[in-house]
Amino acid sequence: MSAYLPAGVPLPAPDPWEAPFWDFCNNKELRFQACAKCGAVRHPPAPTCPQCLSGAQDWIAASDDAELFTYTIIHHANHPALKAVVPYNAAVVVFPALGHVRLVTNIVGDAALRIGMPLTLVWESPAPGRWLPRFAPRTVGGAR
Amino acid sequence: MNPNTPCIVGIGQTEYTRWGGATRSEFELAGAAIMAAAADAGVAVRDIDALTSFGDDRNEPALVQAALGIEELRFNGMVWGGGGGGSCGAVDLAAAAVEAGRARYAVAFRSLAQGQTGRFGLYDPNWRHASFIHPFGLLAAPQLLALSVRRYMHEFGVTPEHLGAFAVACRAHAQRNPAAVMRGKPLDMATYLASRMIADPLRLNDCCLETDGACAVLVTTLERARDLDVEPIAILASIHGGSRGWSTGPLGSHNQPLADYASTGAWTLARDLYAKAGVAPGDLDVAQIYDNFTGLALMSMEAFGLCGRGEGGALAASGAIAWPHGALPVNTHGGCLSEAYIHGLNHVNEGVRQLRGASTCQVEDAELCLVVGGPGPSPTSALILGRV
Ligand SMILES: [Zn+2]
Repeated sequence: MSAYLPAGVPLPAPDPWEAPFWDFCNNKELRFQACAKCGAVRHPPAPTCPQCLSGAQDWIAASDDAELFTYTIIHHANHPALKAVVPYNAAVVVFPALGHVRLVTNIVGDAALRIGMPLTLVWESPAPGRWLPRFAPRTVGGAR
Repeated sequence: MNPNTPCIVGIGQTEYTRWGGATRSEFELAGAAIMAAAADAGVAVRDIDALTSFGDDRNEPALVQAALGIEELRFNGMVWGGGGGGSCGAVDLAAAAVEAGRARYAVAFRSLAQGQTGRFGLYDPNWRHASFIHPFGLLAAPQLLALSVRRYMHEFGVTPEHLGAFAVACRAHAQRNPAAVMRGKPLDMATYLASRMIADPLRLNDCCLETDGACAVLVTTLERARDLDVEPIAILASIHGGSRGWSTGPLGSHNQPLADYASTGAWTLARDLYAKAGVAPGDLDVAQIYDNFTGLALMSMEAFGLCGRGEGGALAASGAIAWPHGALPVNTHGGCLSEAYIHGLNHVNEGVRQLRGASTCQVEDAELCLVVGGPGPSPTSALILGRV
């Protein structure tokens, strides 16, 4: 099955303090940075906790309550790799159980998008050994 | 008024063209705008002693001072951030320099020739938080900010016609402005609604221009201004900064405080700005609001108290922001949408023209003008200008 966006779209090229997030992703684990001292979850990653200034870190698994916070349908591509796939969506997903930490992503498939719709995590590989977290509509209370 | 009050005594600008249209280099445009501001003020270029800028301007003082024969540079500074958030911030730095006695004639400038140095609409691998947006096909400002605008429309019932009302008002103002790139290209609501989608809900006509040009503003104290043959325009308050947790906001991190996601987050900045100036939003005669995208400009009007939260669209659609009949005309030069994209320093120039009585969409007896810099990432900035 082909990925939602084609090869050639820029891959993550993280700063050092962001790298663990992507290392987990490449292992198909979606984990957010949390403070090992006070527990506050933060994203994007940063060297210190803005609540208590501790540098001690945990990486906690994403909760399974993802929902669509906002989205756009992109009609004008500004990168050659994307010219052939317009229109495509990009979205922000929120995790209420994690203090509304938000993640930028895409919603795979062709379902109509609606703010608030429940979502479930899917993994797509844009290149060998690389994995990106994307989301698909989730049927509440049952299997898809 | 305190004799130490910082005042704008000169404004300068070059010709504005669509991107790639400049016949001079970006560096030459910078110098031309600065010389024009000095000539406007009646100050010798060599006596300029402070230079400030923003938006990663490439024309650093090492080049500008030498090229313009500036005798002594006593202060210089750049507001961090690659966008228009620092437009009023650069003026704030210039004001701080003269107010503190660190410089006599401080110039804030911005030269931006996208035809020579790269269009903002193109992919930039050095974008902050790039890893968290680029792999998902978000590679340009309209795509990223469309996410904010969608949420804003969802939360507050803002419609495409609301966004369009802002674009149409700016375009109408530009029809009277000989410097405006979109002069001669009027826009009505039907044309707006029919314009192609760039990043839904943002259409082509929701997006600012890509242009070449430069602007400069010369600041000195009221006391020194009295010796010049020009009406000084007081900087009653200037501010640049950001509030907690905002970070790169809709242009990158997307984890600004949840309740403020569909806003510019400038509530605290606005509160402090009005307090310093000792005026209220209802006292304003005219406003120049940074308009990279219509939806963001609506949110900016809300943050700076021109209307309540979520009411920016209704305000625009009511005609209140349209010259000449609106209660508070906004972007009387045409803004970034229809005059030029000089990263919002052109909005400062228009604010000064309004208070001098020299705008092409002149608000009668304008005494107070709000100018707001680029919204979204921290820092952003704003000014309140007043007649002395
Ligand atoms: Zn902590």
